[in-house]
Amino acid sequence: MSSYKGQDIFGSGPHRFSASPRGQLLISALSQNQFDPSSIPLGLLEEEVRVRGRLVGTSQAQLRQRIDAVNALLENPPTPGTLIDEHGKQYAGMSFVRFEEEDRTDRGRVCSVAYEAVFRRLIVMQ
Amino acid sequence: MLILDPLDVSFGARSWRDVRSLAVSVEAARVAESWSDLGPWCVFADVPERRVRVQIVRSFEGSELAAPAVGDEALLTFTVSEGGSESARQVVARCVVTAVRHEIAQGKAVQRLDLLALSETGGATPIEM
Repeated sequence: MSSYKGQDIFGSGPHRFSASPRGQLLISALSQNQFDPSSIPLGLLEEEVRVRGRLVGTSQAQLRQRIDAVNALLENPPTPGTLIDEHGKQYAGMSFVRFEEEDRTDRGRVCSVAYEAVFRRLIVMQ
Repeated sequence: MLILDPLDVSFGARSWRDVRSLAVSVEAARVAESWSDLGPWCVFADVPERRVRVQIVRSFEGSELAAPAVGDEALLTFTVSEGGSESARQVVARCVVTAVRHEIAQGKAVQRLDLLALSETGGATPIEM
């Protein structure tokens, strides 16, 4: 069972984890008024994990509760927590930075909405 | 629902004779499917968008000039009778004509009408079956 900060916020429906690109953040030397094609590495990209899935409820009200439970974890400023995927892999120090619902709520046998949730291990600059 | 020789079929102000069959079909216009990270098989499916099609077949001995136009919307009414007139019930549905086709079959003129049944609110089924 997946979770974020110990809460099973995605379990009402299927969901999948994916990692965003990793590696160096590069900027072109040209952007720094150096007239050559080289790149300047600024450090490793913040680790980002995306969860794409579907929140499901037996009614519109229940679906709304589940969406609200997810929204309640979007903090300002964000505080880090542990994200765990369906296979028990732990991503420590992850901040919940974005939650986007698809453009429609589906109302068939059940009420559901597809979504994407983004978590990022934010680098705190001193 | 498939009805052979249905009774009292009308579309708005038009009363249709010689209706040989009336078929009501329900299909998915969009299926929502999802997979999980736990295996290759689909774990969730639902049909949040559905369509009710009505197909009517009429046959004539002579010419038929008064055909509905594609896009026409009206109330379709017909009588369903199961095993005797005591259990007959009238079905009413708001429909839009999506196709009107004519052909000659076995010496008779055949008119095939495709209609889409509409729900008043989106939550109520267009035709009770």
